[in-house]
Amino acid sequence: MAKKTKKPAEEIVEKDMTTARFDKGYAVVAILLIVAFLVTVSATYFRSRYIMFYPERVAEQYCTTEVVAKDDFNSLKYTTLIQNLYLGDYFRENYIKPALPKGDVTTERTPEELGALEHQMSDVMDAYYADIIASNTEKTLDTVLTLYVQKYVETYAQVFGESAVSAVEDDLVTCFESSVAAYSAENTVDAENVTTEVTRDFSEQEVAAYREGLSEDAKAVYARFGISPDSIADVCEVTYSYTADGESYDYICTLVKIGMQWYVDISTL
Amino acid sequence: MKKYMKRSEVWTYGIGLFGIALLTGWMPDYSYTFFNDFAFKGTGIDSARIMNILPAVTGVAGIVGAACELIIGILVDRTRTKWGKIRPWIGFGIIPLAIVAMLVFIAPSTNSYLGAVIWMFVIYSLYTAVSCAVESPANCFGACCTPNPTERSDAISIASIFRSVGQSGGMVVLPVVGFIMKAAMGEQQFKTAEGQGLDLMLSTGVCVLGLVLFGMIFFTNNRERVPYTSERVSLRESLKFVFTNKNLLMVSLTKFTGFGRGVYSTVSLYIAVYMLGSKDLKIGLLLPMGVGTVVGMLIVKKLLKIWDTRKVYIVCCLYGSASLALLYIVSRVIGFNPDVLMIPFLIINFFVGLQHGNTNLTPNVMIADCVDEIEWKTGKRQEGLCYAGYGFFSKVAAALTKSFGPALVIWSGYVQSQDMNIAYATQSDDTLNKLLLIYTLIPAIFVIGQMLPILFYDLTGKKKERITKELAERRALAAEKQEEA
Repeated sequence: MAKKTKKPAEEIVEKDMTTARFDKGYAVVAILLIVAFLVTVSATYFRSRYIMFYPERVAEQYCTTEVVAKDDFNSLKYTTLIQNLYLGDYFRENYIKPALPKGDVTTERTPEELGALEHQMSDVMDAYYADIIASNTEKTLDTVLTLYVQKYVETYAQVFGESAVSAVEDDLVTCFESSVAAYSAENTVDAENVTTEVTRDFSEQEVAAYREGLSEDAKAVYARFGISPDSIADVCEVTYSYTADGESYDYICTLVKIGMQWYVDISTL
Repeated sequence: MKKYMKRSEVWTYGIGLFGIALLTGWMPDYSYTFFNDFAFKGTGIDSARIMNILPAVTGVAGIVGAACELIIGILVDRTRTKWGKIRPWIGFGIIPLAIVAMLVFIAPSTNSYLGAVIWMFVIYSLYTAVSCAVESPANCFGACCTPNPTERSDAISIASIFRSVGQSGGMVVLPVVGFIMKAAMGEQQFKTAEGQGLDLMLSTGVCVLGLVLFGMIFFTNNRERVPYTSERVSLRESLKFVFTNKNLLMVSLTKFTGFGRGVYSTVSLYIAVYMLGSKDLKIGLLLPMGVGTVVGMLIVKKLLKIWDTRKVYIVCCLYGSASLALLYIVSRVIGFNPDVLMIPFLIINFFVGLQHGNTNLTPNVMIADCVDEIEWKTGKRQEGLCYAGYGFFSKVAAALTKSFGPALVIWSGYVQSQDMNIAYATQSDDTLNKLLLIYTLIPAIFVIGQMLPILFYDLTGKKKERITKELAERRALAAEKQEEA
């Protein structure tokens, strides 16, 4: 049987095909121009907006969160802790998951019942968070997170009448965020006349000395968060100044540059 | 009948529409989010005031867009160049569109509320105008890509499928850009960048790049193959075409009489929460419907080879209305129990999506036929204006839908949660029923509504064949005369 071949469609070559050479040249030039435009505009805008490229902006965000809003947890988002870690994951992996046994079943409740129980949880946990922040004079991250999770598990059993299991992990995070927000709302400082300024820019020799002079504790903190001291490319100090209740305050942050981004050095906190 | 288009042209027409839809589908939702949440963050400008002014910004841009549809349509029909009348708008319009679209996501560093408002009004209206100048001609290109109606119908079908996919492309671009940013910067650092809207800016860059790359593939490979008439048509005459040609008017009127069929999207989140059990299942509603739309377009493409456009449109509307009614009945019979209702709801929802294949595709084929009819009657070919007229009606209808949806939610008696720990309050059975009505039976009524004008559409069968044949003879005669001259 003869192979059936498809008859090609007849084509019409019109006058406007005379523009074909121009069209191709124009298309190439247009694509190159737009690529150049996109790269230039995106890079410039990204560089001007992304706060982690500027030590004074990182310090400002850190101090606004930590010093003014008294939000110890979220201020960590501007520290070297997050250089290799996602803060939420760090909290979940190291503190929440070890404390919650596996289980994906909880008692079914209506949204109203659930809301009422979560209210009770929030009342207890918000007050507890305020207590541990007040009593934790060392303010170590470990202490705050460990105590909070322990208390949540105990309170959950009392309020819900069943053990907290891994299915309530998200609820724990939500409750913690709510406690942090509640504490922050209660204790935020009414800061005025805020200024942020780089007050000390380390020279190359000083940066090298900073790397080598890190204490053993600081090196341990670095190691814990997967940071090599050698990756510190620059160091500076930023002074965050503000007035509150008629008094002036200065808060000095030490920032390190790793890669292209600046972080508040967590080992100095 | 002789085929005129190269095989590759059919695909590159689709690729071109895909590129344009990638950007124009991305812009409305994400530019709103950008203005509302990120553009002036940290500048000291009151975000509530920005949010309050945004409806005016989009409203003015909508009016600009509707006016531009007609203006661009008239200008396209007056365009006479060696590139044709439509191609230069697309090929040369893509560059300003790319630049303006990108600038929408480059907010000025200002702490002046007035400055911010002026910038939003100017940049978004400018974007709307420039996008009309590219999108509107691109949509009407199908009418002049070949004089063969069957080949034209095929090309429009394939291109419409590409366009439909392109409109949702942004939903893929955003997570991909996010993934790359996370890998490059770190997850927490990405969150910081995301908090400043930088992922939206970069995603817009990707969509702009897609527009230019795919648009240029179309520009270099596709040709206009229907000769255009040389005489100029006055503005008055042009508008007369849109509002007095019966068939064109009927196709455009479908947008008016069916404006409420889109209200389902207003309550899709509530349907996900109350009927399916989780707001995360909204994607479970929209994705099968999106897939159903693409499958529907393939089915309609096949149907158009068997039946005429009028019959296809009417049958598909009846099907759409019936499938929505079925979804309502099944949901009522099963009851509002997410555990039992979810699977049947999602399955029927997919079949409901099939009807959108018709509304996305058949009107475009019909308008191309109307362009032929107008040329046959008047000797003047008006692709630009015919599609612009349809686009004008579409934009006005979209504005009506946007007001109608929220009004229906108020009618349903929906109660918002006042509790900080509860996102969505419990609703009464009456409210749930009304929400289901807004998702099913009310759109079903409008689907029937959009079918009604098509009952008076008569550009089918022998009339269409006669027009095609006589136009071909006229063109051949004109070509002979031109050669003699």
